[in-house]
Amino acid sequence: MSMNSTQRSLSGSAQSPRSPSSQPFLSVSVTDPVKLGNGVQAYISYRVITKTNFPEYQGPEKIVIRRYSDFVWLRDRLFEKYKGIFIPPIPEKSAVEKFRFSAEFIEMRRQALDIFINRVASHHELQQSEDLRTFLQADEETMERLRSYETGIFKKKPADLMQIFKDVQSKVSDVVLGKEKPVEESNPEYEKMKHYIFELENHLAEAQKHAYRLVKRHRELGQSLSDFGKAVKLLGACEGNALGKSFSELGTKSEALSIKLQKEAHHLLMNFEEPLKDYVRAVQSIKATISERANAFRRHCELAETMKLKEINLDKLMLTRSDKVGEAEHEYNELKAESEQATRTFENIVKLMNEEIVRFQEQKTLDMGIAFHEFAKGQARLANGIAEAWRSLLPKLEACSSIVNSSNTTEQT
Amino acid sequence: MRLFKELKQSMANDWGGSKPPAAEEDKEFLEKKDKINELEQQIINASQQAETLVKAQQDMGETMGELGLAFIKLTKFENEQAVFSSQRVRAADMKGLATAAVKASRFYRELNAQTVKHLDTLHEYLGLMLSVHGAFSDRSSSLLTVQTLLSELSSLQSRAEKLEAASSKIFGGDKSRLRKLEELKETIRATEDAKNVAIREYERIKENNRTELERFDQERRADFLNMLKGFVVGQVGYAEKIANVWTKVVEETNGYANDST
Repeated sequence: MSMNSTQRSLSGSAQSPRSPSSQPFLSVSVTDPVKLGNGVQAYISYRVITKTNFPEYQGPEKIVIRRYSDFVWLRDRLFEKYKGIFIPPIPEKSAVEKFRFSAEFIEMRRQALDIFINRVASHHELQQSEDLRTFLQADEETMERLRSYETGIFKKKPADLMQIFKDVQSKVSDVVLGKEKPVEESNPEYEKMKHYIFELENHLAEAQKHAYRLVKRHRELGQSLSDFGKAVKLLGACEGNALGKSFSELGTKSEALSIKLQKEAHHLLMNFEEPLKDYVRAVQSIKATISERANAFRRHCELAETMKLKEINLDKLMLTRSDKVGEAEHEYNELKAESEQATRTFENIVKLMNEEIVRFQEQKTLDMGIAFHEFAKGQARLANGIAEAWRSLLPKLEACSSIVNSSNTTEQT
Repeated sequence: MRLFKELKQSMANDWGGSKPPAAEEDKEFLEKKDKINELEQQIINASQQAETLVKAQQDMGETMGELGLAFIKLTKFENEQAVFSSQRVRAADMKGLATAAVKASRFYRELNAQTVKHLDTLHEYLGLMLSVHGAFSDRSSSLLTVQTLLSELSSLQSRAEKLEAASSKIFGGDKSRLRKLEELKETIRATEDAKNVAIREYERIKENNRTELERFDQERRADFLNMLKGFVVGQVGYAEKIANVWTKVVEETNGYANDST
């Protein structure tokens, strides 16, 4: 029933090319960024095109206009509802870049949003989400209403707010129960996984940092080749004759290579650095899920403890045949239901996370494999281009050499 | 420039007679001088851009190496922590990338050492320009000497003419004036000799300059050409090596290419 979730796609199609039309599919693409508004209030809107045969959807195709904060809304909703699942990451808010809105920034963001929505659409659980359906189909007014309600009233992300609320709640319980230490799972495998995730983030962040620097180096080398080319051409004009021509051709080649380097810099950014950044974000998303699991565990423990106390209290009341028994019994039953719910929630998160980590590792191996392939392809293409360009000069330099040498000999006699 | 102008001026004012044959040559010389100055400017410019290029190449190699190291750390980490086989596959892929990046980094470093060596020719010629300027100033000062002597000679001769005219008016001759005239004629002869020496010296320096400049031009052309060849050959060689390194990774990761759109 669920689709091939291991496919990471850039253009939006999460459908295997030769599937019969009866196979369920949900394919989304984020395209055509358009800058709207002015100055401080400027923002980018995107066309989100959905193609599907899911019965829950209004029709086979839908096009809506969405902006960044709509994606944020969706992500927050998914995070709230699908605890235990590693929600795909979205690109960060960028207060500085927003004002500048360079073409590069817009393209990076569009690509990241496209990847996000496709990951959601190809995840066997997340693709069932009602909020996803809203996001992909609702008109802009509805979307705006939902978005401003969720993010306007609560200045923080709902997740953050819940975290604070829970922290307070657990603090109170801790005091009541006479505990000060936070309750944590003692699961060695899980500990190992947590440690792995936290360390992984550090390693990845470093790799991403160097990847970004490498993009800059390509641009700098490109610029220096351009400047060098110009200078050499001027020198050639001064020298004149065969040598001058050689200088001039070298300068021209140098300038041409500068363009290749700028192109490669962009390719490196979009196909290597961005996937690495995406990897970092994905790990950060897992950390958020880890935090949710910790909350769920705490709640499950607290309720279990509270329930025990209530049980003891109830027994006491029953023994003394107090008229408060009815009330206490009622409270106890309510608490029991809540506790069982909390336990189920927690256990569900554990189960989901175990599945998710497998999916995550496989996904990342695929994503990185593609990224490495693109990186190597780009570097090989660049190096070959450089070799070819310079190689084409050699016969001309040889010819010039014989001219210069013969003219020198003539003048010496 | 000023000297030349002064010479022309003094020629026009004091002589009215034959002009020195230097006029045409001087113009040619001045053109040559201008060209040399222009060349120097362009060499300075090219030499500066060469430095920037070298720095950019160096930085590229360094960052490539750092990227490689970061991935080596990641490889080690994934291998140590691996729970799933997908992690081991990823670690292997990372190792391939890391190895290539480190190799490429080394090649960039080697290429850069060569680039520095070749493009250094530009810096060398900046130094050699000094000797060219030296030769030019030798010629200028020698010309100044000639001009000074010429004007001295001219003023001595006019003094002699005046003295001769004055003494011929006195009947029986003017012993003191005649004696002065004799002394003056002596001085004139000495100055004539000095002038001739100075002119010969000037001509010698002019000829020296010409042959030196010719030699400088020839050597420079040959050296610059070698610089270009060396630079280009180095770039080709290392670009090929770097391309090979990455082609290997392309082949190793080809499996992923089929999965992407």
